Amino acid sequence: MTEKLENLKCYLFLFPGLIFLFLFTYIPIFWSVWLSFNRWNLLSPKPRFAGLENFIRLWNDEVFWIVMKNTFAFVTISIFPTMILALIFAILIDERMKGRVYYIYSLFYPTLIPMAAAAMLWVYIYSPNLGILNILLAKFGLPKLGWLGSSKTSLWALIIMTFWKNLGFFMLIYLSGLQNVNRELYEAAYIDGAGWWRRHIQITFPLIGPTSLFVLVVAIILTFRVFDQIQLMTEGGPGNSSNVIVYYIFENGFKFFDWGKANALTAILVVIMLTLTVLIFGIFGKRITYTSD
Amino acid sequence: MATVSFEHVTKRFGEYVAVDDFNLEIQDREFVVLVGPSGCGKSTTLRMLAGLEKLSEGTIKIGGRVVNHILPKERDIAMVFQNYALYPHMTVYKNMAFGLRLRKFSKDEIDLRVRNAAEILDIHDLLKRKPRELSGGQRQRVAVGRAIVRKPSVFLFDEPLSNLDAKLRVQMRTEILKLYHRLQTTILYVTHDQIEAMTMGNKIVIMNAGKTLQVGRPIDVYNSPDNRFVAGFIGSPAMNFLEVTLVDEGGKLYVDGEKFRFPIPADKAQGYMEFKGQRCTFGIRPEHIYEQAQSKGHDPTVLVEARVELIELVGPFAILQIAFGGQIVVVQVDSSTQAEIGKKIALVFDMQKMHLFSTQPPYRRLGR
Ligand SMILES: Nc1ncnc2c1ncn2[C@@H]1O[C@H](COP(=O)(O)OP(=O)(O)O)[C@@H](O)[C@H]1O
Ligand SMILES: [Mg+2]
Repeated sequence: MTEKLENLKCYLFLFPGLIFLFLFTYIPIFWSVWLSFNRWNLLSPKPRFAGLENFIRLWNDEVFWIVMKNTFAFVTISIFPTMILALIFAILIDERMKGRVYYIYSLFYPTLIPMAAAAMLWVYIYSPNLGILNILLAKFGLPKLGWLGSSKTSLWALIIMTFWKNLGFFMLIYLSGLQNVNRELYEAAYIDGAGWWRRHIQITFPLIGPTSLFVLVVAIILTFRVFDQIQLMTEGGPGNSSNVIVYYIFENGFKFFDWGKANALTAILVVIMLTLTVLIFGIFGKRITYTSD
Repeated sequence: MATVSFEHVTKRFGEYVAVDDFNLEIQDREFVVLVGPSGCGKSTTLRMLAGLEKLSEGTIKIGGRVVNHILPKERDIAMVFQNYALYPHMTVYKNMAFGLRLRKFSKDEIDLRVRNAAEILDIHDLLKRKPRELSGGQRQRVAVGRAIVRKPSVFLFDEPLSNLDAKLRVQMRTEILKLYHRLQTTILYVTHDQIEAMTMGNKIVIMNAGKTLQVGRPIDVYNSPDNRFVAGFIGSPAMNFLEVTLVDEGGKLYVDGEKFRFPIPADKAQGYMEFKGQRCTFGIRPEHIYEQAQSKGHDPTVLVEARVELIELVGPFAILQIAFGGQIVVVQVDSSTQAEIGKKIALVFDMQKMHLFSTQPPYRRLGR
């Protein structure tokens, strides 16, 4: 009896939070999923149930497949280098006493500045004639590249820029994760005869597991959601060479006024992210060592 | 098996001198205990020997070889850490095998050594467990096991028992001693607990504020502490100190507090003659003040009557706090004592066991 009462009390306290969660998260998601089964565009401005019509249109849409390919390329290419480098930088900073704050700031600074400012900076870096990247390439006698202006390199240019922008953020998360690893373990391993790499491979990597899991999920979500830099730097172009799913949702919703298709894309994105998150937690969640005891 | 020597070893952290001109010779198979209050530089000294901390000055030798610039793994040492430092994601077996695997021992040899150590330490049932599934005492054993599988020539222990409860601590103390007799290796053991130091070491080193105050056999340090700090640090309850003047009356020496005057036995007085007329600190251990009712045949000139302020019964004996000479003096008596709080008690000071210390830093012991 008292247990039931306790439970009731819990829900009572959670109630205000749950209302907001429902109003602004779950209801819009379900609404969006519902709309993805409707025809809703400039020509039919009232949503009308149309079954799988939007999904069939996407299936036959050449751009959709380019967008999906680009999105997955973006995620798979950027995540692991970002995670590994963020961890290595975190370890290096963690081991360093002097100038620690300076290193943290210089790595975290890109995360701190607004995307618009970062985009301006990189548009300049990538500019074909004045940009430092091409000036550097020329210095080494290498051919200049089109960067943002070429369909061969535009996606890569955005991946590199996003890597630069996110690295400090993940580095900071790793740095705080490293604080939970007992220093004595490194000393014990050092005496046991483990060198720098081995110490980190055998101790840091396994013990930082919970942080890595968190970073992995956040990185996947962040990268699936890239939008600002694409809008600001390439608008998905040239052609659709740097178009990704969120930008394509935006295009369908706000340029082509094809809201049914935009919602179908949104539903696909939600399903992909949910599946990935569940998969990752399912695979890694139980295996990692939680050290606090 | 090896000797260890510290020669003028100094360690500075910035301006701060953590270890100041430390000198020590450790013989092969000797059990040396480094003891001193927290923050006095014990761990730093041990860590320099382990190779975890660089020396600011001086030389450290292991087995006659200078190791200042030699990596920890090549020093042939093993260390047991205060917080055990067990790898939380590895089983007990893997924890113990870790160092051996890095040293490329064969699987069979590793297995043999781990099982052997587990047998010695009585942890063979725990080999498949992770550290978090072990009690404090069991973790301690695993930490020791991880050290002994390597068969190092020097063992380093940094306050290995301070995280255990009192009973377990006493038990582990004897186990480490047994292990020492079994393994016959050189041990440098750090503790802040003087009882641990007294009971375990062949030789103890008392440190304070980065400096070595005395090195010697426990019994020698107890009987003739070099200075007031050591006298107060070694022994429990701690030695009593009273401010006195040494006075000479008709060729006889007395310690003269304002409220008491005790004659110094003639044989002892010889050594103090040169200090007569000086102010100094009179030291006497609680166990060297007797209850008159319990003792026979003591010099009546050192008989005093004083009021009992507090009685602590500690099983076989009782510790009394006595108001004497304008301060509190601690006395250890048999638990059959007739003392009652607030009442007077007759006490005899055993002047044969007295000490005198200078009132000037470093508060050296006077006489012989
Ligand atoms: N890495 C360090 N940096 C600065 N000061 C330190 C460092 N390690 C120890 N110390 C200082 O040196 C002194 C001795 O420390 P330590 O050897 O750990 O003492 P103990 O083990 O005797 O308690 C302490 O005052 C401590 O604060
Ligand atoms: Mg210490």
